[in-house]
Amino acid sequence: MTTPAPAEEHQIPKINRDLLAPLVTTHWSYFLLVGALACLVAAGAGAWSYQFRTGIGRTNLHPPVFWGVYIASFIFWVGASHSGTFISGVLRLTKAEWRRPITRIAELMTSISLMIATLFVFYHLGRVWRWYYLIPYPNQREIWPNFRSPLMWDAMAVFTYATASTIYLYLPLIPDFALMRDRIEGWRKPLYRALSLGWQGTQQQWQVLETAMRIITPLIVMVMVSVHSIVGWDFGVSLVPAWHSTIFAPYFVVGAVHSGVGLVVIGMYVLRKIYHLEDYIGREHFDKMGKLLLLTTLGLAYLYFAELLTIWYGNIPDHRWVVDALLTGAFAGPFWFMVGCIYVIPLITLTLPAFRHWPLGVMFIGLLINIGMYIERVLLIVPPLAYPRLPFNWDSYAPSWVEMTIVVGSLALAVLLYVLAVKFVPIISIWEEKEGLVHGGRQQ
Amino acid sequence: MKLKRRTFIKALGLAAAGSFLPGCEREVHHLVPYVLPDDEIVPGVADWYASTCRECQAGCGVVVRVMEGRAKKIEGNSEHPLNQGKLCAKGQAALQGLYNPDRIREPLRRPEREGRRPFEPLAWEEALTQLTERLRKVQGPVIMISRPLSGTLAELVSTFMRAIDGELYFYEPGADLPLRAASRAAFGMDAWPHIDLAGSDYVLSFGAPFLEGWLSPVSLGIAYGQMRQGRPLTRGRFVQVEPRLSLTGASADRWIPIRPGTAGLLAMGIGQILLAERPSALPETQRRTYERIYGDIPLDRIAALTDIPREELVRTAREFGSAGAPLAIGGGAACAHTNATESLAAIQGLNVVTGRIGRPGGLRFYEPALFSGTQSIPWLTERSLGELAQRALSVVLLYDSNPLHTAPPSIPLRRLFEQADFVASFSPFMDDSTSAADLILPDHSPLESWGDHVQPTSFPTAIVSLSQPVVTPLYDTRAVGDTFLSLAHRLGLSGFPRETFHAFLQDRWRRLLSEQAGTHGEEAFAAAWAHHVQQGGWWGRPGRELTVTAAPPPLPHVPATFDGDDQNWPLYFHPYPSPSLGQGRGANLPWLQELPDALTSAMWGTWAEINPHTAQAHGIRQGDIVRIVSRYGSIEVPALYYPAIRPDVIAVPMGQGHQEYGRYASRRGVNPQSILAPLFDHRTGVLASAATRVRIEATGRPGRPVLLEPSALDPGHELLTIGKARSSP
Amino acid sequence: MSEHKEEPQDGRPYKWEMVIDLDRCTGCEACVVACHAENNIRISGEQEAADGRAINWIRIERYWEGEYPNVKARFMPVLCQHCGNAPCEPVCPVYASYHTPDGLNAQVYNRCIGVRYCGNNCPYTVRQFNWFDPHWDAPLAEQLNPDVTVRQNGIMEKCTFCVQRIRQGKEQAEKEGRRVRDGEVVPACVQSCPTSALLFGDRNDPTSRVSQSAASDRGFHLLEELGTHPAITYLKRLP
Ligand SMILES: Nc1nc2c(c(=O)[nH]1)N[C@H]1C(S)=C(S)[C@@H](COP(=O)(O)OP(=O)(O)OC[C@H]3O[C@@H](n4cnc5c(=O)[nH]c(N)nc54)[C@H](O)[C@@H]3O)O[C@H]1N2
Ligand code: SF4
Ligand code: SF4
Ligand code: SF4
Ligand code: SF4
Ligand code: SF4
Repeated sequence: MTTPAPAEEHQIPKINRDLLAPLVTTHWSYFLLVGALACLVAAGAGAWSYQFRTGIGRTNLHPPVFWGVYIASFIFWVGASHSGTFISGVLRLTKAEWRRPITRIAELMTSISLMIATLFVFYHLGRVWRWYYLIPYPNQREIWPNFRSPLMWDAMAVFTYATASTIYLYLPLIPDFALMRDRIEGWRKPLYRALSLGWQGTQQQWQVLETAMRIITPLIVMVMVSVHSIVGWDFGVSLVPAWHSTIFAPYFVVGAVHSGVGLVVIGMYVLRKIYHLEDYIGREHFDKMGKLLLLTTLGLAYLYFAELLTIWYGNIPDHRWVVDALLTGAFAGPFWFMVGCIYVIPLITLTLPAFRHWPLGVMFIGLLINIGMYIERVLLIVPPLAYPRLPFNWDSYAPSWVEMTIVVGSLALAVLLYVLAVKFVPIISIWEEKEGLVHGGRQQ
Repeated sequence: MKLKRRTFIKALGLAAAGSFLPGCEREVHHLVPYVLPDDEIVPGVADWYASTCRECQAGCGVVVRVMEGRAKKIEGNSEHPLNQGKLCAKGQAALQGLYNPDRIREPLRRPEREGRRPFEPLAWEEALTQLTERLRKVQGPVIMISRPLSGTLAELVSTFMRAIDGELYFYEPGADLPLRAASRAAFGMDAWPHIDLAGSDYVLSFGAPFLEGWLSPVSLGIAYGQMRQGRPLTRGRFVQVEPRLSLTGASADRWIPIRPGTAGLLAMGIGQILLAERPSALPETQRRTYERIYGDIPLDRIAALTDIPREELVRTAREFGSAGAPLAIGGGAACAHTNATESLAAIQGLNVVTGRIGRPGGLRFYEPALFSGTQSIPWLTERSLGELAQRALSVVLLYDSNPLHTAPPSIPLRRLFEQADFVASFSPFMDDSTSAADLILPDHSPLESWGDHVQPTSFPTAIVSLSQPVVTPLYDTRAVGDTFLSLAHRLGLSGFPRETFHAFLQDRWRRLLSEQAGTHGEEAFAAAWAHHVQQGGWWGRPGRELTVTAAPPPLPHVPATFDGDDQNWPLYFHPYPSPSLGQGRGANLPWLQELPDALTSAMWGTWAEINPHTAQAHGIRQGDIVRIVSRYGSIEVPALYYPAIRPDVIAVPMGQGHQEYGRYASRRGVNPQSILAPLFDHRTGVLASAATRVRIEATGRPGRPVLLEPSALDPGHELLTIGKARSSP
Repeated sequence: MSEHKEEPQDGRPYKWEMVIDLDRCTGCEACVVACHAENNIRISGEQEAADGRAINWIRIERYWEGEYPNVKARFMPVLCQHCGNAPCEPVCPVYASYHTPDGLNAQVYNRCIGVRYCGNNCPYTVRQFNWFDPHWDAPLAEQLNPDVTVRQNGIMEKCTFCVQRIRQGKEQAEKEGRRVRDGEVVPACVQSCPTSALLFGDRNDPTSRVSQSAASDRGFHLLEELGTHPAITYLKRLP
C-alpha cells in the first residue's frame, strides 16, 4: 500500500475511529434487539423440534405439492447470498471504486445467507436424521449418492460456494483483524490475533493478499453464477410443467442478484443510519445501487416475459394451466402483487434520479423487492406442482404455522447473526477505505 | 368332546382345525411361541383356508391367508363358481370386521332400562341363564328379527323359534322383495332370476345397480366384463335409465335421466313400440294381454310423464328390439317407489315380449340349490316392522340387524324396543339397535365360525358354500349357532341332539352329500367333508333350467305417489345405498370409510349430490352445507356439484349417521333415512325410499367434505375431460 | 449382492407389465382395498384424508365429460406406471428410487431420506409420502402382511407391482427350474378385479395374456408424449 498523501493523512484516524466505533460502544437498544431476535429464533427452533419429533406432516405439504416454503426459502436465501459475491466480486473485477464501503456489508450477507439456506434443506428432509446419506463416503450400504440427481449437484454447489465465500469474506478481513488486534483490548484480542494470521502489513504480505484476491474474485463470480444456475436446474431439468424450461438458470441468477442487491441496500441504509456512516455511504451509493437494481429489474422482467410468452403462445395445456392459474386463476392475487413489488414499482421509482438519491426510498424499494422475490420463489414452486398433468390431482397449498414459524425464526436468525457480526468485524472494510483514500476514489 | 388335533388336521388337509371348535376356546395369544408352535401354525408359512364371504347376501367364495394364526388377507376363491377368484371391496374389508377394535368382546347386560347406565360384562353361563329364564316365563309373543340367514343356521334358528312358539323374521334394508314379487307376477317364479348379463348384447337397465351392492355384485361384475370385452366380435351395449347416474350407470354407453317413479311407464312405452313394430314370438293371447296392458297410456303421454323425448324413447325401443340378445332389468332407483312391483313387472315383461326368458343373454331360472328351506321364513319390510311395533311383545331377539338405523324414524320403530319386556341381541357389534338391548350375547366373526350358505339367486350351478373358522376366536364371543343350541338344551327342547353347531352342520351335510353325491358311511363322509371344507363348499353340475310356462299377464300400471306437493317441496329426494358402506353395515370398517366414492371421490362422511344449475339457483357453492327439508325433518350435509343428476333431484348416499357403531362410524355423517316419509311399495311393503319430496336451503356455511379429488372443491377449476389426460385417442 | 439373481434360467429377463382395459373398469374399487390389504397401506383417517394425504397406491380417477343430460363419467385406474424411463429415478439423490432388472420401478424405503423430488417429478402423481408414523388401532395391525414392510414417517412409497408376490413366484419357478408361468404371479389388485379390467404378466413372453392384450388397437399409454415408457398399457373405453 502506497503512503497516503499528506492532505488525506488526517482522515485516517477518523476512519479508524468511525469504523471501529460499532465494535467498542454498544447502546442498550442493541441488547433489546438481540433479545427480541433470540426469542424469535427460539420460537423457530421450537417449531422445528416439534416437526422433528412428530413428522414432516406438520407442514401443509401433501401430494401433489411436495415442496413448499422450505424450498422457496432455500432458493431465496441462496439468492440473497448473491449480494455479496455480485456486489463485491463483480465490482471488484470492474474496479468500481464506489464499491469500497459496501463490499463487507455484502460479503457478510453472503455467508450468513448461505448458512440460513442450508438450514432450510434440513428443515425440508423427511428423515433429516439420515441427512448423511447425501455425503459421498464408503458406507455400509455400499452405495454412493446419486450424482445424476440435481439435488446432489445442489449440495455440492452450495458446499463449494459456502467454502469459497467464507474464504472470500475472510481474506480482506485479515488486515482489519490485525488492526483490531492492535486496537481492541479484552476477550476478542486473542481471537483477532489468531485470525489475523500474523499480519504485519509488510509489502510481501500485501502482495500475497492482493494476488489471492485477484485469483479468488473471478472464481467466486463463476461459482456464484453456477450455484444459482444449478438451483435453477433443480427445476429446469425436471418434468414438471412450467418448471421444465431452459430459462430457469439465467432467470435464477438474475433473480438472485435482484433480491441480493435489494438486501444490500437495506443493510446499507440501516447500518448507515444506526452507526452514522453518512461520511462513508453517501447518497451516490444509493444512486448507484438504484441503477443496479434498475438493471436487474429490467433483466428479470425480460426473462420473465420471455418465459410467460413462450408458455402462453405455445399453449401446451399442461403448461398453460399453470400460467392461467398465475395470471387469472387461483394464484392471481399474489402473482400481481409480486409483479408490482419486483417490477412495476422499482421501474417507476428507480428511473427517477431524484428518487435514487433518497436513501429511505431506495431502501424501501429493496424491501419491496425482497418481499416480492420471496413470493416469487413460492409462486415458482407451488403453482406448477399444484397443477400436475393428470388434472384429477390438482390441488393447492398454503404454509402451516409450523412452516411459518420456522421461516420467520430463520429470518430472525439471519438478522441476529448479522447483528452479532457487527460487533465482531468492522462493517466497512477499513483498509479498503484507506486504500480508496489513496486511490482518490473516495468521495466526501 | 375335544378332538385329537393332529389326526383331525390330517383328515382336513388344508382345512382349518378342530381346535377352533366352539367350547374349546383358549386364551388368545399375542406372541406366537416358535419353540413349541401350535399345531396349525408353521412359522413363516402361509396357509389358505377356504370360506364364505358374509358381507352381503351373495355369499362369494373366499380363501383367507393365515400366517402364524393371524388372518392376513381375504381373496376370492378361484374354485368357487360364483365369484371365480374375484372379490369386491366389501369382501376384502371383512378382515377389518374380524380385527375391528370395537367388537363386542364378551356378553353384556344393561342393568336397568331407563337409567343410561352403561352395559356391564357378565359370564356366558349367567347370560345364557338370564335369557333362558326370560324365554321360560314369557307373557306374550317372542319374535326374532334377523338378517337373512341361510343354510344350516337358518334351519337351526327357525326350528328353535318354532319350538318355543316364537316368530322368526328376516329383515334386510332395501331388500329386493319387489323384484321377487315382480318375478312372481310376470313369470310365476318366486325367485330372483339369473341375469345372463354375459350373454347379452344390449342391456337396458332401469336403475338396476348391478355393478354395486345388488343381488350378486361380483358375479355380475364378472359377467359385465364378459359382456363388454369377453367375446371376440361382440361388444355388448348398455343403457341405464335412472334419475341420478349411479356408479353402475357410469359404465353405461347412454344415460337416460328419467323422472323419478316413471320407470314402469317407460317400459310400457317401449313395450308398445316393440309389440307394434316387431312381429312377436308371443302366443296370440299373451300378446293381446301385453298389448292391452302396455297400451294403456299413449306414447306421447308417456314421453311427457317420463320426461324423455319421444324420439329417444322410440330410438331406445328400436335398438332394444333389434338387438340379438336384448336384456331388460330393473332395480335400485326403479325399486324405490310406491309402484315398485308394478314397474318391475312391466320392465321384466319386456323380456317376455322379446322372447328372452330362459334364453342366453336373457333372464333365466334354475332349479334352486338343496335345502334352501328358508323360502317359508317371512321377511319383514319397513311397513310390517311398523305393524310389529304396534304389538305388545314379550321378548325380542335381534341378530345382526339394525332397523333403528336403516328404517326411517317416521315409522315409530323405537316402540318395538321400548315396549318389549326384554330385548336380547346376538350382534357382534354395538349398533343403534343393539344398544337398545337388555342383554347382548355376541356372535363370533364369520372368520371364526362354521357355517354354510345357499346361493340365494338363481344360478346355473347349484352352490352351497361352506364357512370355516380360519383363526382362533379373539374374544369371549360365541357362534350364534352354538348359543341357540345352548338355549335349546337349557330349555329342554327336543330335536336338538347335537352339542355344537359344527356337529349340527355336519349332520346336514351328511344328508346333502348322501342325496347329491351318494356319499354313505362315516369314512366316506369324513373324506368328502374334508374335501368340501377345503374347496369352500359343494357345487353341483350346471343345474337344470326351469322353463317359464304360464307367464301371467303383467300388472297394470299404477302411478307412483310422493310425500309432499311439488309447490312447497320442489325436489325429489333420492337416498341411495353407498356402493361401499351399503345401508351402513360397512361403516365400521376403516378401509371402506377411506375408500373414495368413485364418482365424487368423497371419503369419511356424507354429502348431497346436486345438479350444478340447481345449486347455483339456490346460491349453494360447491362444498357448502345445504339443508334438506322434508315434511318429516331436515338434515344438513355438504353439497357436491354432480353433473349427472336431474335438476329436480337431490341425492344423498346412505350408510352413515350411526349413533352407535364403533369409533369409525359413530356420529359420522348423516342418515338420509331420517327425513323419509313412511311410504311403501304398496304391494310388498318395502320402504319407498325415493318417494319423499323435499326443499333445500342454502346455509351459507362451508362444509368440509373429504375428497380425493381436491380440485373438485375449487370452483375455478373447470370440469376436465380425460382427453386432456391422455396422449392418443 | 452377487447372488441376487434377476434372470430366470433360460437367461431371458422378465419384463413385468400391466394392461388396464378401461372398457371393463366399472370403478368398483375392489382393487383399491385389495392393494391396501396386501401392502400394509396405512389407514390415514379423516383428518389426514382431508389434508389430501390419504395414501392410495392405486386410485380411480374419474373424469366427467359433457354437460347434462349428455354427461358421461370415465374411470381411469392410476397406479405407478413403472416407467421404463422413469422421471422419478434420476432425481433421487440417494438411489431410493431405482430400476430393477426386470423392469420395476423399486422404492427402497430404508434409503429414502424424504426429499420428495421424485414425488414432484412423477408426472402421474402416484408417489405417496408418509407424513407421520402410521397407526393402527389394536388389533387391526394383526392383519399386516409380514411380507411387506410398514413404512415409517418421512419416506416415499408407491405401488410395487406387489413385488413380494413376484419374488415368491420367481423363487418357486427357480426351484422348479422353469420360467414363471403366465398368470402365476398376480398382484392383489389384478387378482380382485371382478371385471378383469386388470391384467398382469411378462411382456417378454410374447404368448402371455398381457402381451397379447397390449397389442390391441385400443392400446395407449398415459402421457405417452413424455417418453416415460410406462409399463402399463391402457385399452381405450368404447365408444
Ligand atoms: N438357508 C439358511 N437357513 C438358515 C440360516 C441360514 O443362514 N441360511 N440361518 C439359521 C439361523 S442362524 C436362524 S436364527 C434361523 C432363522 O429362521 P427363522 O426363525 O425362520 O427366521 P426368519 O426367516 O427371519 O423368519 C421369521 C418369521 O417371523 C415373522 N415375523 C417377523 N416379525 C414378527 C413378529 O413381530 N411377530 C411374529 N409373530 N412374526 C414375525 C417373519 O415374517 C418370518 O416369517 O434360520 C436358520 N436357517
Ligand atoms: S359381493 Fe362382495 S360382499 Fe357380497 S359376498 Fe361377494 S365379496 Fe362378499
Ligand atoms: S409412474 Fe411415477 S413413480 Fe412410477 S415409475 Fe413412473 S415416474 Fe416413477
Ligand atoms: S423422497 Fe426418497 S425416494 Fe424420493 S427423491 Fe427423496 S430420497 Fe429419493
Ligand atoms: S400392483 Fe400391487 S402394489 Fe401395485 S396397485 Fe396393484 S395391488 Fe397395489
Ligand atoms: S377392481 Fe377393476 S373394475 Fe373395479 S375399479 Fe379396480 S380396475 Fe376398475
